Amino acid sequence: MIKIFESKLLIVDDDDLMCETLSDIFQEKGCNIAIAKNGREAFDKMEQSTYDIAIIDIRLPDMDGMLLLSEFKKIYPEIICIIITGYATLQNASNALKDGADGYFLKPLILEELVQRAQDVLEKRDLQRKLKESEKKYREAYNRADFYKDLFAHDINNILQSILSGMQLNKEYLNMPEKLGDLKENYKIIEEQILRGARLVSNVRKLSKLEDTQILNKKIEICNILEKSITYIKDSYKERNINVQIDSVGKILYVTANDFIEDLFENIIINAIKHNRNPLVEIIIKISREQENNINFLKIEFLDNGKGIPDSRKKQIFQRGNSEKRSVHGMGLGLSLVKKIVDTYKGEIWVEDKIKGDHSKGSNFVLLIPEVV
Amino acid sequence: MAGIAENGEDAVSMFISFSEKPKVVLLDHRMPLKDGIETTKEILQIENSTKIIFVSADASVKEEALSIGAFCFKDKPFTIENLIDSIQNALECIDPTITS
Repeated sequence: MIKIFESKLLIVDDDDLMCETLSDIFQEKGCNIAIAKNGREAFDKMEQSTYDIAIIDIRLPDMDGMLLLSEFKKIYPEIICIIITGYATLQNASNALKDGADGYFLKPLILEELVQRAQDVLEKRDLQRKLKESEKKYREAYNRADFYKDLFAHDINNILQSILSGMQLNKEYLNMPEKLGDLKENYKIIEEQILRGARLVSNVRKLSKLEDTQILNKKIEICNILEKSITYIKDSYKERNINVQIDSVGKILYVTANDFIEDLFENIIINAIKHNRNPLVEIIIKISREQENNINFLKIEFLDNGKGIPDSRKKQIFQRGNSEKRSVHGMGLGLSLVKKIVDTYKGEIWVEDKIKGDHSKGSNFVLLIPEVV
Repeated sequence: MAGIAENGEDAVSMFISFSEKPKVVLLDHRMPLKDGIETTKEILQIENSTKIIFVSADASVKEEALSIGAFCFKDKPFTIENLIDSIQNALECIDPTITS
């Protein structure tokens, strides 16, 4: 909370003695003071710095102090404005308060009351700010809970459908020897769906953790992590023929990231496998350097020979739970998690065609992560 | 079975290409390119006697699906028997002389 001694105060009055008096008393309280002798000067000061409080005399040489009040409140709605005047009328007082004045004081001023008023309004403004932030956090948490609830309901129901249908068909096929092949295929599908469900739960947990906690970034070596991720995925997809090649600018490379980088790599590679019906899944990982806005990045490209992504979907695939358009495409959270992780690194991710202009030949997922040189 | 489409756009194109229109369409909602609601509207514009069995893991879309003319709405997961019943009902609606 801003205390009076931390605040910046602008005194707008053409009376030198008044300015000196107010300046002394508020400086004693620890305020930073600026003085403007007229409206124009007041506007100039406001453009050059930010102020918490403005004490404005009604009679200024170049304009009505009330006009200054209403302009300040329009342009700087958070500023506390206290009107001081030697020419009080009930109408003036009423107008000032209607225009947003946080106080109206008659000269000769009772300075302790003026200081107390400034302190009280500062405290009130601070509490209002905290309340707004608290409401915002609550709304965000509510929306997040709603989104995850929706996500689970939809995706888990799809998984359950596949398992249920597979089990029901297999019940029929048990006494049909000619359906042995279909039976085995269905059990494979059921197993895949269960693993898919487990991955979904894991991804939701991670997304939730990313949103709720501040995870600090650190220096991370990525080549080793990439190799580990590739080995893990090949073991998880033993039934698929997967060939991954790495073409890298170095054998030891460091980035500013966190422990979620493994999830990042795994989700991109799993996505490449999932959307690939070829007997041989081919993924080329190219690592190079790039500079953008004077920041050094490592550029990691994941080129696959999968079914590709049409231009109309290239941006959508990273979005999940867009509340304006509930028609969300596809299942699983992988790429939403990927986008969220990249955001925490202040990196970028996007997708291109592997062969420019022909999405059917496969995709290129391009990742930029800040390099630690 | 007349065909399988992976997304709403292919579904509509396929539907248009059939000279004899399918009597029953089993349609998911959350699909790439075009969702089930848009696909339902377009198919019924082409042939409004088609019975659309709207299927979704997202129950929140049920009211909208029925209001635009879907024959019925099935929540996932549903059993095979349940699905067959729905298809049967749809066919009987088109031709009451059909028996199970």
